[in-house]
Amino acid sequence: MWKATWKGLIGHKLRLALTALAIVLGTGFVAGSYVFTDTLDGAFSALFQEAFAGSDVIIRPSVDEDLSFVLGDRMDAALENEVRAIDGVAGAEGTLGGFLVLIVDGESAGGQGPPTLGSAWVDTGNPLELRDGRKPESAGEVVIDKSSADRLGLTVGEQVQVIAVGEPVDMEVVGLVGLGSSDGFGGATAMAFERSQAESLFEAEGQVDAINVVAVAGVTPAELISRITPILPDNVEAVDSRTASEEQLTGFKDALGFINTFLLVFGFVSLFVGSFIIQNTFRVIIAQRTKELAMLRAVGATRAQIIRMVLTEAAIVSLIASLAGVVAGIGLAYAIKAIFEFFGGSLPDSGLVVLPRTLAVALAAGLTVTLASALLPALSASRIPPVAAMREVLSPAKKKSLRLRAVIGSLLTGSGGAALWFGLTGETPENLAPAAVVGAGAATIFVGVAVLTPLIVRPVGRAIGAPLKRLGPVGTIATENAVRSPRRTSATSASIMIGTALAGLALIFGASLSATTDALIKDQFRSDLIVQPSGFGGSQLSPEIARQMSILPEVESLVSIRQNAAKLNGERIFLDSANLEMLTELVQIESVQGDIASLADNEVGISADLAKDKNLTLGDEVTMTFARTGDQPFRIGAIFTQEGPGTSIVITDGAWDANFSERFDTAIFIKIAPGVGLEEGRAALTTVSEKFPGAEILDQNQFAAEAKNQINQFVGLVFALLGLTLLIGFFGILNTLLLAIIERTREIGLLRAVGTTRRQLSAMVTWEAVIVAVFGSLLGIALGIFFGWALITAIQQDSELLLSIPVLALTLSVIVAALAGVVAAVYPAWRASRLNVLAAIAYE
Amino acid sequence: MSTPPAARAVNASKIYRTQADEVRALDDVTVDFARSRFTAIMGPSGSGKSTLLHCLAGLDTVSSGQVFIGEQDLGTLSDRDLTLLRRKRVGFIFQAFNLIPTLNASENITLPLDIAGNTPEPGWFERVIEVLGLADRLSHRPSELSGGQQQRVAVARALTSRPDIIFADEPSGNLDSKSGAQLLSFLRRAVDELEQTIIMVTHDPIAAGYADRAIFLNDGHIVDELQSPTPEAVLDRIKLLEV
Repeated sequence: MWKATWKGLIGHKLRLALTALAIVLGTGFVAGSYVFTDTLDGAFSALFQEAFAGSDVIIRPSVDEDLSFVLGDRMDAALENEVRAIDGVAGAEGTLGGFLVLIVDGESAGGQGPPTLGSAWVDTGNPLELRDGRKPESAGEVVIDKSSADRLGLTVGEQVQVIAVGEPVDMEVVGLVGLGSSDGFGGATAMAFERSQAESLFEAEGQVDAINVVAVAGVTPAELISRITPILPDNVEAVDSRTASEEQLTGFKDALGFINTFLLVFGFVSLFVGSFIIQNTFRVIIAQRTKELAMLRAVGATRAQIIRMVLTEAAIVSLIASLAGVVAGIGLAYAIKAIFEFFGGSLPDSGLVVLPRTLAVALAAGLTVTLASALLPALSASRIPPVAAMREVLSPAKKKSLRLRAVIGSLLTGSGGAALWFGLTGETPENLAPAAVVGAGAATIFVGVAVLTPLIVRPVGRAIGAPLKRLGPVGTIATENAVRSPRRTSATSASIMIGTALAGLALIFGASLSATTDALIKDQFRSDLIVQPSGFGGSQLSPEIARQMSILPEVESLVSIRQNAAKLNGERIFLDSANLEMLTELVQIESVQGDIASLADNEVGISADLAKDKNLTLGDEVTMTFARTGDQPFRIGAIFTQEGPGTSIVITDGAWDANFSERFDTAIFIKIAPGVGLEEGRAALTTVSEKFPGAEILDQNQFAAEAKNQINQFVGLVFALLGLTLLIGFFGILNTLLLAIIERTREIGLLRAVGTTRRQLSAMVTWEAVIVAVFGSLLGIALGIFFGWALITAIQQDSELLLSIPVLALTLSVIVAALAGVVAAVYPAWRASRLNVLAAIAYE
Repeated sequence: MSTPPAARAVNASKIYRTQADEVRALDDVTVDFARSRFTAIMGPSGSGKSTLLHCLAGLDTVSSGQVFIGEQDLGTLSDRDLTLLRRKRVGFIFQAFNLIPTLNASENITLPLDIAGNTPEPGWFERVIEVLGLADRLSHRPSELSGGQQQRVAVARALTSRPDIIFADEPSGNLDSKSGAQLLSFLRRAVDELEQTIIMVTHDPIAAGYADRAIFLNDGHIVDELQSPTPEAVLDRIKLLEV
């Protein structure tokens, strides 16, 4: 049996290679995702370990898991001296740092890339090592990490400017540093200043972020922690440095987790889509080998042996393909790293990490999908009766019950739809992630629809092919060939269906968001201009910007908004603070109960949606939890409505100042004085903003464009997914057509004998591919519209979202799919037209 | 014979080369096929009869010598011109797999015309259908027709485009004797009533009995010929050849 298996593989190598492509892609994305993550993990854990290596214990504000990323929650520096006095402490020194902007030759050095960070130079537990020059010793001196300095062309002795909270400060570069063995900080720009300089930059006199503690030899970190803890105030904790480094690493990995998720989704979709094609290929191969299999049965092979033979073939194919996939995945991880570096990021230089786990997961994924897909074909192979070996003409396969198919397909589609709906509306059981339920629901719908599609292939395919009737027999035969094997057509078009469904969903979601954004901004934009940060990664607006802009004669009024995380009755929320009186003037926000403009410092205003959600009413007592000050009693002082996904909870600037030490703004809304033109106003504001690189001034249209730009990026991402599935679908069509041409050799010979030209034959094959592709994409668009409608309807339950169907873009994706069909048909059409007529019709 | 022949081969040879040796499937064959006549090519397996048919029909090329349909030397034609010639001037009936399964009977019959973008001559299609008794089967797919009916559709297809010549390769080979006899009668009538030229390859003496003339091939040579053959006479000749 082993020999038969092997011969079967060799005999169908092209076909199996095409099939294997889907597995290669799928396992490639899975492996790439793991390789990339493991590489980051390895590189950054080394980096963070080095960063904390000098200290034994870190004292810091107690980190609430949900609020851990909040910046600027500082402690009283007096704690430093108290800690030093403890027996067993060799040294203790406070750290102080934050985001800032580095200006070299009048230009912001950070741009859109990773953040720029600055901190006070410490001698206790110092992670920095001087590579050149000396440490900063007085105000106006800065050391900078060597890899950033090299990138920016900075050397010791040069002048730069630094902006943290206030005005830009002139500085001289006095040294270049590295972190342990690395010259860089994973792409971030890192700087250090003398302590009092850092205090003034961050406006944090007498405050520290954390305290590095070094133990006397012989005192373990655990012992030290137990001695320090009693003197610590509330909301401050001591942890050992290893824990701190691991926490930072986790935070970092979470931030890059989207790449991982994205790749895994790609991998999963590839394998899922591929499974249809694998199943199809095995089915066809087995149909072609009916006689051979019957012969094996006739000479005594058991059904189990036949099943084993087919599954062994599948296993060998998947093994080879999965290994190729791992190689592709390593390439992919390289490519991502390169892309990262192209966009200004830099990852620590360490080789790519390929763990045995990566190999195991990729192989297991490939094997599982292939075997599962080959199982049904293997079973049907085992049902071939030995007598089939003797028959000249094979009896057509027994018609399976259409009703059974309809019932199973409808059940799958229905249960998938139900899962989708519950996932979207959040009515999932506690222990299930809504995203998983939505994903499983969508996958079940795809399978259900794929089970149902053979029932509609004939009428729908013929309708698509109807215009081709004008081409005469070429069109008629192409159409009939496309629909002659409904199961095969449905399996072939499934990948295209899934791809266009996802693209359709993304297009509808994107168009709906865009339409909503337009409507909202028109509605909401009471101010003339908005100032917002242009970078990413914690870049925020210095409060100095709003202060300086407010005194410009061209500005009538402005309101600056700050945003941060806190907890409302134990649940994490984002809250905003602003001058509420100005806020109600410049931003569309209407009080329903109470008056938002006159909130007291112990009162919060909440949106009507949130009130409904949390069952809160005006006057209710609530507990707000802040990272710095812990639980604080508040009262609901106002309930407001706001169009669209804006803020859901606001506090006064006074309440903010009492509970956060951070002072950055996230946006400034500006109304220009009467009689001043928009451009004149913008020019005046620019005199301020140009001193603060990283701040940009937007008018209504630009703001909308910016918002929509993000939406478009999301749509672009999903389109990449469409491209991938189209690629798999492309090979699926290619594969099916090649098989069909072999099966139809005699038919093609007959057509040629009675006068069909090569060109006509090529056209026939091409149109068949187009019909299959268009069939799949139309089905996909219909599903995509359904998914889009479901998603938007679900969102509409919580917030305003306009449903918008982008007809042009959807039409375009059908055309793209049709073109993919045309390209996929090129080779099979060529093969068909070159077929030897005589060989095709000859007997004996 | 004053009119030129419908087809002829002049010193035609066909050599197949394999790694080991070469096989002369046709060896210097010269033969004429008259218009409006029904000719049977006979011979044992491997005698070259199918090769002769394929070369005459423009499906295969000769290694040396010439093959003509009417006055047209097929050796000078490109694949495209050969295709167009087959389309206009040649009809085919094969032993099996004669029809396109995705087209109905009517579409199969008009296939060569449709491919060429032509329409049947008025009245001719109806006449052919009537002669072959297919009027009530036109909308059926091949899978819904009996073997005899399928071959009649193939005959109708060959006749409808009014080709100069019809080549039939064991047309009754896959049919039971009753359907076979019926089909051969139709071919006979096509020659007698419609003045169609037919060349048929067969190894069946009974089938050859429907022809005006039988030629016998052996080892790539024409070895004998009978005018107005009867099955008995054909059988005698075959026995003679085998000795």
